[in-house]
Amino acid sequence: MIEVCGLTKRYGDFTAVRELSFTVRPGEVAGLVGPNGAGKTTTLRCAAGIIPPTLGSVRVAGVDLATDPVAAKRHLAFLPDEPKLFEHLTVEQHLNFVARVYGVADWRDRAGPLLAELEMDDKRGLLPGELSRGMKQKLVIACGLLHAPKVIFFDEPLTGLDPGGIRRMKETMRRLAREGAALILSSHLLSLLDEVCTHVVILKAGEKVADGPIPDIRARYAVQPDASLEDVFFRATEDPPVLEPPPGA
Amino acid sequence: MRRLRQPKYLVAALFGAAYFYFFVFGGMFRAMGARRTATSFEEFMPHGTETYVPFGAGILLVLVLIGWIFGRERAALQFTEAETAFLFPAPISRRTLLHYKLLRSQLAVLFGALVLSLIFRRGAAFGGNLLIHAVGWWLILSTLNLHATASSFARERLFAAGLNRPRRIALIVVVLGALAGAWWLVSSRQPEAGLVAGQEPADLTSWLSAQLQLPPLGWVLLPFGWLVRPYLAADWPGFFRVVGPAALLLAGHYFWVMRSAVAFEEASIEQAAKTAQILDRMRRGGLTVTRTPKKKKPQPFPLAPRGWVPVAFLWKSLIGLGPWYRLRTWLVLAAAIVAVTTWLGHAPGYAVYLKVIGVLSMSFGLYLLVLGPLFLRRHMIVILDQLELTKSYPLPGWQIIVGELLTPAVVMTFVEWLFLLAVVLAGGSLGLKGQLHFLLAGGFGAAAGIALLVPPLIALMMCLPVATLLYFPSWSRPGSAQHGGIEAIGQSMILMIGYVLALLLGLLPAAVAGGLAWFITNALVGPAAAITVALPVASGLLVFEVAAAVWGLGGALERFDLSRET
Repeated sequence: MIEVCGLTKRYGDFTAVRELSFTVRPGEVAGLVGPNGAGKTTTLRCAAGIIPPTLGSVRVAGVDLATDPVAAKRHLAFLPDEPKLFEHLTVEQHLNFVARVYGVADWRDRAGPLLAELEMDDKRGLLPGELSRGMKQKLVIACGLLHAPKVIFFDEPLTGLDPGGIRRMKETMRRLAREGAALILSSHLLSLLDEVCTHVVILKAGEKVADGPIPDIRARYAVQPDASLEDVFFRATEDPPVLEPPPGA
Repeated sequence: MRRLRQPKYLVAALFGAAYFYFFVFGGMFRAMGARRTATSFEEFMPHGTETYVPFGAGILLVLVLIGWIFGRERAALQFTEAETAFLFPAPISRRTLLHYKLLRSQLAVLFGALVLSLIFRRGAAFGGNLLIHAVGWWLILSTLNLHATASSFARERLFAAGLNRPRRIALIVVVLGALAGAWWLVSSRQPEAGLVAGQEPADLTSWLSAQLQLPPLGWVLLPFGWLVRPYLAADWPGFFRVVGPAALLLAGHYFWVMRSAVAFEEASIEQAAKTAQILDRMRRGGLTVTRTPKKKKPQPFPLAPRGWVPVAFLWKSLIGLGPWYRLRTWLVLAAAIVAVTTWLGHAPGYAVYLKVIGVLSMSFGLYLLVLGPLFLRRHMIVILDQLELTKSYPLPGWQIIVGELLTPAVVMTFVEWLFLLAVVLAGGSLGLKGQLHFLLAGGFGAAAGIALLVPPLIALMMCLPVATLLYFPSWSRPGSAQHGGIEAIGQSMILMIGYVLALLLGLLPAAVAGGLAWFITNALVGPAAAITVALPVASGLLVFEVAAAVWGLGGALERFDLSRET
C-alpha cells in the first residue's frame, strides 16, 4: 500500500507539489496524470524516497519513508522513464548486482521466468549498448521486479516498446496487481491508463484536481457514461474544471 | 548566473576573479615591465635552457605517441552537426573545408597559447618576454594540432591498407622496443655522469638530459627539440636564431595535412552526431560521458546474492575497469619491481638507475596521494548520474558512500603500495637523511607500518571529492557552459586548497597520536619498536576519522535533494 499524506515540494517560491494526499491499496493500479509541469515526476520521486519532500509524509507498505527509508525501499521499485543502466554490466550481471543489493538469494530462479516474460532470455550476455531502447526499458523492469516489490512506480513505462512489448507490459502490470502489488503509473498515454488503471489521480499545477476510481471520476466530469479518459482529463484540467451536475439536479 | 545566487557558488566565482586579478593579469603587467634578471633565471635553471630542451621534446614525443596509439582508425574532424548539415552538401571543396577547420581551430590555439604563456610567466623564470613565450606556445600548439589532423589521415590510409589499431599498436611497440634497446646499448657504453649516491638532484637533471640526447633517441627527439627552443628563447635575437627549424616543421605539417587529406566527411558526420547526442543527453539530465563498452568483461569474483552490499559496488566497478585491475596483475607488477630492483642493486654501474626508480616512485607516490582524489572527477560525474538509481536502493547513505569509494580507494591503495615497494627496495641508494632515511631503512617493519597508513589516508582523501559532490554538486556537472570560465577557475582553486588543508587537518590527529605513541615507546623500549607501534596507532586513528567522515557523508547523501541541482 502507498499512503501519501499532505505531500508538498517547494523550490524557493515555486511549489511543484502542494498538499497532495492519496492512497493506493494492494491490487490497485493508480494512474497519475496531468499536463507537463503538473508535478507527476516530482511526486513519484518523493514517494520513492529519491528526493525529500518539503512537507508531508509517505508510507510504503506501512513503513514511513522518512523515519525508516531502508525498510520502506525494500518493498518498492521505481522504474524511471529514462532507463538508468550500468553500461559495462551485461543483463545477467545487472540482475546479479540488484540481487545483492536487495538480498535476493534465489535470484537465478526468479530471473529465468522474468526474462522469459520480457522476452530477454536470449539476451543475458548482452551489454546495454547492444540493446534497443525498448530492451533497455525491459531490463530496468526486470531489475525492478526481481525482489518482488509490493509497491511499484512506473514512469512512462511504454516509451520505446514495440506493439508486442506494449501488450506484454500491460499484461505484466495487470498480473502484478492481481498478485497484490500496489502500482502507480504515470503516463501521458491516457488510453493506457484507461485500459490498465483502476484509479486515477489528476494533477494540475502541483495540485490534485481529482482522485478516485475511474468510474467515479468519469461520472463527475464526463458528459456521457462511456466518455474516454481523455475527455475526462481535459474537462478536469480546464480552468475552472467542468463538472457534470449530480443526477436529479 | 542563476547558480551564483547561491552563496557557495558565488564565493567560487569571486575566488576565481581574485585569482585572475592578482596573479594572472597583475602578474602579466608586472612581467611585461620586468627585465630578465640573471639571479632569478640562473637560480631557476642553473644549467641553461639547452639542458631542458630534451625534457620538453620528450613530453611532446609522448603526446604524439599517445595520438598514434589511441587515435581512431577513421579520420574524423570535429565539426558541429550544423556545420556538417550546411557545409558538407554545399559546393565547397575538401581543401576549403580543411582550411576552414584549421582556421577555426586557431581560435582555440591562440587562446591556449595566451593562457599558457600567462600562467607560465609568473616569476619570469625563463627570461625572454611574454610575446616570445606566447609565440613559442603558438608554434607548439599549432604544430601539434596539424600533426593530430595529418596523423588521423595517415591512420585512415593505414587502416585501408590493412593496418588496424591492434597491428598499429604492435608495430609501434616493436619500434619503440628497438629504439629503447639501441638507446640502452649506447647509454651503457657511455661513461657515468659522475653521479653517485648522495649528489644533488641538479646533477641528475644534467645526466638525464645527456642520456636523452644519446642516439638513437636523440635523433628522434631532434625535431621536437626544434619546436621547444623558440619557447625557451631568452631574447629576440635568440628567438630568431632558433625559430627557423620550428617554422619549417610547422609548414611541413601544413603541407602534410593538405597532401594527405582523405575522405573525412562520413566519419566526421558520425562524430558530430555522437557529440550532439552526448551534449543533448547532458542537457536533459544524463551526465555521463563515458564511452559505451562494446565487449563483455569478466567478473573479478563471483558475487553472492547475500552479503555486505558495498562489495557489490566494488564488483560492479572492477568489471567496468577491465581485466587488468585484478590482484594477479598487482602481484605480477610487485614481482617485477622486486626482480628489477634486485638486479639493479647487484649489477655494477647501474646504481644510478635504482636511484632514478626510487626518486620517481617517491615523487609519483606522493603526487598521487595528494592529488589523486582530484582526478576522481569523472567518477563523481558517474556517481551523480546514477544517484537517482542508487537512492532508490534500500541502503543507508553510509553504505552507498562506502560502495562508491571502495573501488577508487582499493585501486589507489594497491598502486601506492607498489610505489612504496619500489621506494623501500631502492631505499639504500637514495641517500636520504635524518628520520626519513631511518624510517625507510628501518626494514620491512617500518615499511609495513607505512603500508598500513596508506588505505585509511587514501580513504580520507577520497571523502573530499564526495563531499564536493554533495555540497557543491554543480561543480561535478560536465561539459556545460556553466562549467567554464572564472567560476570554474575559482572552483578548482578552492578544491585544491581544500584538499591540501583537509589532508593536513586529517593527518594532524593521527600525527599527534602517532607521535605520542612513538615518544612513549621510544622511551620505554627504543626507536625500532617505537616506529612499529606509532604507525599502527596513527593508522587506527585515521580509520576512526574515515568512519566519522563516511557516516557524516552518508547523512548528507540521504538529505541530498537531486532535483535542486539537475
